Amino acid sequence: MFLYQKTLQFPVKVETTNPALAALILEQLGGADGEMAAGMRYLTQRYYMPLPEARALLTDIGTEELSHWEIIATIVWKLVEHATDEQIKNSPYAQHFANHGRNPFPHNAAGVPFTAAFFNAKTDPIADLHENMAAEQKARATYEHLIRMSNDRGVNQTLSFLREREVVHFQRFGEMLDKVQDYIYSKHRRRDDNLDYHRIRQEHDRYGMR
Amino acid sequence: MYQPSGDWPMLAIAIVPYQQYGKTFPIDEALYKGTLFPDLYRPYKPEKGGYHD
Amino acid sequence: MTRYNKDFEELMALQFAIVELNLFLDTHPDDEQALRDYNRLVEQFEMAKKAYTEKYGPLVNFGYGKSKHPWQWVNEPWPWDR
Repeated sequence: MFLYQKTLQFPVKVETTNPALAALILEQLGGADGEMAAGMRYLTQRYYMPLPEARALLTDIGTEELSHWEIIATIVWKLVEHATDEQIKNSPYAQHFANHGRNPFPHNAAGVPFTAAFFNAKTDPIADLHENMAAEQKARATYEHLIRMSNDRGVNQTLSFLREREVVHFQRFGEMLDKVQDYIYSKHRRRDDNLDYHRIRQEHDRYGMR
Repeated sequence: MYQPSGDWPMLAIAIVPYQQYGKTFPIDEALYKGTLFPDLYRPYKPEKGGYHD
Repeated sequence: MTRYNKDFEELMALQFAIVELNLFLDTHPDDEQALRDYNRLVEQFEMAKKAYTEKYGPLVNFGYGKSKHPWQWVNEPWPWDR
């Protein structure tokens, strides 16, 4: 079940009022490669994973992504909290404001609303884990775009944190892919006298794969 | 250069090397870097032509 | 402008290291050193949480900390408002 802890995962310090930047940051609140998509993706894929470690990893990273979603909403909020109507009117945030006022809302920077079409779960753990690895790389690239668009030091510090998390998550999904592939392919591997699973794992060690 | 042996890894699969547990950053530093592990720390430097170290 | 007090930052730093190790252990369940470090940090975190809850009220909803009167869970600031 889900509980809530009254902290943010990272200390978000926003130094400026900048509705134009807020409009861009929304990409990670409601976009295809954003934190809501990531959280929903991983939490949805958990059910048919064949290994308990995979269920744990998807649950844990999925939960962390929801915490990141909260961080993104916080950045958007702090960037517009003290903005005057004039400042908003003359920025791309005006389109968002017409519907939602200042409150953050999950659509992307172009205004496309969040949709489950942004992610998938296919029962096939190899397909799912590859989608997750791709998602982490796309999120990392998106954070790099946003860092280039931002002059706010506090925002950039937070975006850099979130970007680094994508690098780490990619590594974890990669490791889980290896475990899952071992598990799946070992059941179907040709059996002959010289080819046993134990020996194959020893070869992994020799070639530095573990 | 990694040379596969026997029938592992097979064609048409992707493999990410396993991380070994080792050094860690002190925890206040880890928070601000976004990871506990120096091995996984890859900061983005837009000044350096947009590619990270 | 944002104000994060020292107690709060300490909680965030401990929590972050714990999340990192949690993920590492999910893919390395047999790693003894990582597990030792995780458990050691959890001990520190339990103490920090206890002290924080005593001072400011429950950190987590739905039964993970007692409250003084009046109901402290609704207290400001909420984390996005700091």
